[in-house]
Amino acid sequence: MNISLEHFLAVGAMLFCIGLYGVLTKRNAVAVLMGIELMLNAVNINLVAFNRFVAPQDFIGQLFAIFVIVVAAAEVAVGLALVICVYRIRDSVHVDDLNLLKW
Amino acid sequence: MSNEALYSLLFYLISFMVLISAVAAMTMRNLVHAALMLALSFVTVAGIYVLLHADFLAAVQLLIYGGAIPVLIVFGVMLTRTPGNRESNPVNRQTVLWGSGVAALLFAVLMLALNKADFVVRGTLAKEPSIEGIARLMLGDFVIAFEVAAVLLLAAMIGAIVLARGGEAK
Amino acid sequence: MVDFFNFSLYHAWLIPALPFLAFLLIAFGLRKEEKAAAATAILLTGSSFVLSLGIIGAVLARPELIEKPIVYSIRWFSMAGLSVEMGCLVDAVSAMMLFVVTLISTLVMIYSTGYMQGDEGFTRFFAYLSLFASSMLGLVIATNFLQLFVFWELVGLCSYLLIGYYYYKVSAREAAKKAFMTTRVGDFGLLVGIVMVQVFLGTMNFVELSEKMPQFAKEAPVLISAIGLLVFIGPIGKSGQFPLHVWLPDAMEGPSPVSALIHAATMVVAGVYLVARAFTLFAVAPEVQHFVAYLGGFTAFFAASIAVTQREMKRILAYSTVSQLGYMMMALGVGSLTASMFHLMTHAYFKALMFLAAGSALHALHGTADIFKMGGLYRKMPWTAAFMVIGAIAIAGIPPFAGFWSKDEILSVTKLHGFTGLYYLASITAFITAFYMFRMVFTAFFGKENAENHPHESPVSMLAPMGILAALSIVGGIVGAPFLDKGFGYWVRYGPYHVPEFHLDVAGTSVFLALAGITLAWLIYGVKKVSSDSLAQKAGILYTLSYNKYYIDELYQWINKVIVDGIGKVLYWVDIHIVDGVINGLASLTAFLSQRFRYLQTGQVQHYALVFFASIVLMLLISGILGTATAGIQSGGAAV
Repeated sequence: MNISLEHFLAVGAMLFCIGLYGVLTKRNAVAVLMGIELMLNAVNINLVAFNRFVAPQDFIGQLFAIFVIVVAAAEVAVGLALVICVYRIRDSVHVDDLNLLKW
Repeated sequence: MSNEALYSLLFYLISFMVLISAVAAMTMRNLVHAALMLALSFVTVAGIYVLLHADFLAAVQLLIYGGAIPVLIVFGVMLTRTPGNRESNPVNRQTVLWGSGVAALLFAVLMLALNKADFVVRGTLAKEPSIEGIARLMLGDFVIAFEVAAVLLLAAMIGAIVLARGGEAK
Repeated sequence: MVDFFNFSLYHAWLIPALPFLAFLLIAFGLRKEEKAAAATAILLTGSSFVLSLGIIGAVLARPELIEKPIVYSIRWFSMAGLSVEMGCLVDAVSAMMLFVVTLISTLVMIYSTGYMQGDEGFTRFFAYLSLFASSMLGLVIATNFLQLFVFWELVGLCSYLLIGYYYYKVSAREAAKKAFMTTRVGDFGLLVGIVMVQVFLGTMNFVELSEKMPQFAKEAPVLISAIGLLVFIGPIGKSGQFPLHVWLPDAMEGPSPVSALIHAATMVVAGVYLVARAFTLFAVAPEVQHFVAYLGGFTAFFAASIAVTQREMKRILAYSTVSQLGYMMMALGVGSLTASMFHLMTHAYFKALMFLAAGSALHALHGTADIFKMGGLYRKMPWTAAFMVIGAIAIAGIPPFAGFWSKDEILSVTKLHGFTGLYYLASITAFITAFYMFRMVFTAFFGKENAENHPHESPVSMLAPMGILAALSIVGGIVGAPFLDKGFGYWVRYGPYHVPEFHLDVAGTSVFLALAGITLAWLIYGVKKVSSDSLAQKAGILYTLSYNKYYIDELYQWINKVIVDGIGKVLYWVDIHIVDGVINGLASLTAFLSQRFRYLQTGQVQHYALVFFASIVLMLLISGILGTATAGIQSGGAAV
């Protein structure tokens, strides 16, 4: 069977949902960041798939994906720095311990 | 084997690897193992990019996602190890039910939308190599976004340094 | 001379301005200087009087003013659809009023230098009097309803200040409040009427209204009648018609000069003047005009029936004023502007005279007001007695005194225009008027002296103004006498000029009734041939009703306490429980809900993310079910 746009989009969707599961259910903050990275990758797959199948003459989708990678990298760096800060102060990286905004 | 068949085979193989390693990354109990599985997932996503004729992007993916980010994550894991539960990647009991439910539901909705959608597909590939096209766009129409991204990286770098250093220098 | 007439005609605004200047000077500069304050007030008001004479001179040279008054004004404020000016309207009616008001004001001020001597609020009194004079004069020259209303309220304020002049007396304070509140009821109706005039007729200017009135009457007669009725409610209050007459007798708490000026000659006639000014409005609403007539006639009889049994001198005079105001309203109601204004003028002369004479007597007797405690005052106070008798003869309507001509005019037009019932009622009232007036004269000024009283004649400052008014009461009616070719009726009229005729039957009946009343009073109170006490007993319930003013005050107090306060209590309950209840309920509802909802804030990031993504899923589902998702995708967008 011919592999077409829908297949790639399905892969992206599945990857996104797996990442979402990680974001929502993991206690370790670093694991949550990992889930976020998976979601961003899923987005990238979508962008590139559309670029290939809908507008292959332009490379805008791939360019967009590059920018997403840039932002993701920056975000992971800063996020991990934050986690380390929190670890230094609270001695725990479990997100359910960080509830100062509780009622 | 015809081109079509080979392409399909490769697609299914690589997709399977992506998804399996992603699931592993999210469910393994040892956090370092999970990080390594994540790296594997990223590398296989590069393969998907190759299938989509985005060769430059695949290279960038391997560099950044396959090289820099797993290192960062492993550093983060190492630096934040709790002495008691070693390498534990626990699940939040309160949200696991609803979380998996929402994720599954989202997937169902996305699939439904995908089914109903009608995409206008043009299959003809570009003549020039992708890197030339990307470079032309990046340094031409989207040069401002390019510069802004550079500033963003600078800011992130400074921010990460300040945060990780902790406290003011006396 | 003619230059002076023209000057005053075009500078009529000076007439109210000068007394107002006096008020400012006295109130802000001359508080401690008694002589200077009195002199300022008298001089400036006297100058207004001279100017008003100039205006009369100017008006007499211009017959065209009767139909088309001179109006000049400046714009006060304007906005979309509304333009209000302040200015002067001069015609024969306003010229007559200006003359009367300035004359009586000046005379009362001169009188007050004697009457109020030694009183520690002397300068305050003159300040209030000046303010009153200026307000009343401003009312007279008003060009439109709004300007008139402004000065109407000012006049009411001055009345309040002057009635409550002896503020240390509880009765005076209460009387002042009663006056203000009762006239307020009338003012409310007047205000609603004025607003309706502006909203429905588009203009409040008297001259414009009189031009447009026939057209308005044709288009919306019911509306015009409603407006006329509402506008008339103001005069019911201010001019003491039944049922808002109750404040006038109590207003006698003020000093006698105040009673003479305000509650006899000027302020109370403001209502009559308003009806006269807005006569075009009433002329096209015959039902309202008839109501005015019947109410006026009833008021005249009603007040006279109360005056018969009253014992305090000023109260008798007060009820007499209410009664005569009823006559004036009745005259307007039957359609004669001339008769009403003529009686207004003559009544000002003799009623002010009588109040000043009463003040003279009270001043000499140091506050004894009951006429049965007085007696034989003519021996020690001959001038005062003579003036009082002159005033009584005038009000009784004996020719050739002024009251005869004006009262005869009213009776004639009432009979002529077909109001026979009112004519009989008015004639009976004339009989009663003569009776109670001379009852007062005989009891207080003649007969045996009361040993406890030590009366003395009043000083020249008080006698001289009375003398002038007495002279006017005798000869002042000639200007309206029927044998004059172009007398009062030529200048002050509404509509075409009717040469007045002398009706011997009307005149003869009224003189006969007056003489009969005087004789009856002489019999009962002069020579005491018939005992007044036995008459009172025989009258029984009628006497009680009359003496207690038909219990109207008690009725109003009951209404106030039960109905008004009752409604107040209900509304207070509504305010506390329902209005505040809603607000407090909302507040407590907010507090209650927030107490429950705060547990949603767990502080856990993953809970928040869960809700976030669950909402996204829900929104996607909804838009998918509604079919908008397919449209989005078809245009090339992404599903995620």
